[in-house]
Amino acid sequence: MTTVAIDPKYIDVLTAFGDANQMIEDLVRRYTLKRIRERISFLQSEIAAFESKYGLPYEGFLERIGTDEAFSAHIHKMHPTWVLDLNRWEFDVYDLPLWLGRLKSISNS
Amino acid sequence: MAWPAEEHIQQLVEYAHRNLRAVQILRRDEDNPERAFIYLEGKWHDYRVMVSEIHRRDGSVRYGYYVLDKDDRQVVGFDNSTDVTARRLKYGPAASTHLHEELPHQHTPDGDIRLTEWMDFEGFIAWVEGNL
Repeated sequence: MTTVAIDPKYIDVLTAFGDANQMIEDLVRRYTLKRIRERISFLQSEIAAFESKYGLPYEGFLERIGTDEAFSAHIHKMHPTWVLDLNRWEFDVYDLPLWLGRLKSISNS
Repeated sequence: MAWPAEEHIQQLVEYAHRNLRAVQILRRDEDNPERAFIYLEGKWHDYRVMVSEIHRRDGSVRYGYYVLDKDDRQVVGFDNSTDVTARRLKYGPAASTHLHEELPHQHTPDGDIRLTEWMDFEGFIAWVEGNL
């Protein structure tokens, strides 16, 4: 457990409704789940946008850009700064499981 | 989580603020244990400068440094993506045996690719200052 400082004025009022510790725990849990879901939604929508823009899932794009010279030339022509997208795409693909794991962990707690 | 990429990215951001105008950190994330990521943009004279690096836990880095003109046309780009053309330039017929190898190269405005030495952000800024 980590101790967090909370202004006593909130504790005084919350105590009128019951167990302040439990209420704060519930609030933090709900807020954390909300923020995690927002992050997951952001990552999923960005991955979907890259898949739509480049016509392939991440792994497929990586394979094709590394093997198909005509595809590579087309991508360079249509999206000259595609490597900037690729970096962001890779990060999203690796970040999504982290947040899904955090969601599962806190949902089950 | 502290790992070398975190310090590197902080230094990159500080260097960008010292050498570019109107720097915007469009995305920065060092929370993931497997990847750290930075994407920023800034201005150098009338040029739009776009900078991205992804750092992996194994120490490898993929970078992309691009300059666009005021009409958003690419002036130059440096990156080390697994580009099939860059691999062919380096390995010729043996390119397929180096699949997924990240090779530093430069993109010219007319669509050509040239192999380069490894570029970092400071080297890129030096190139911009010396060539644009």
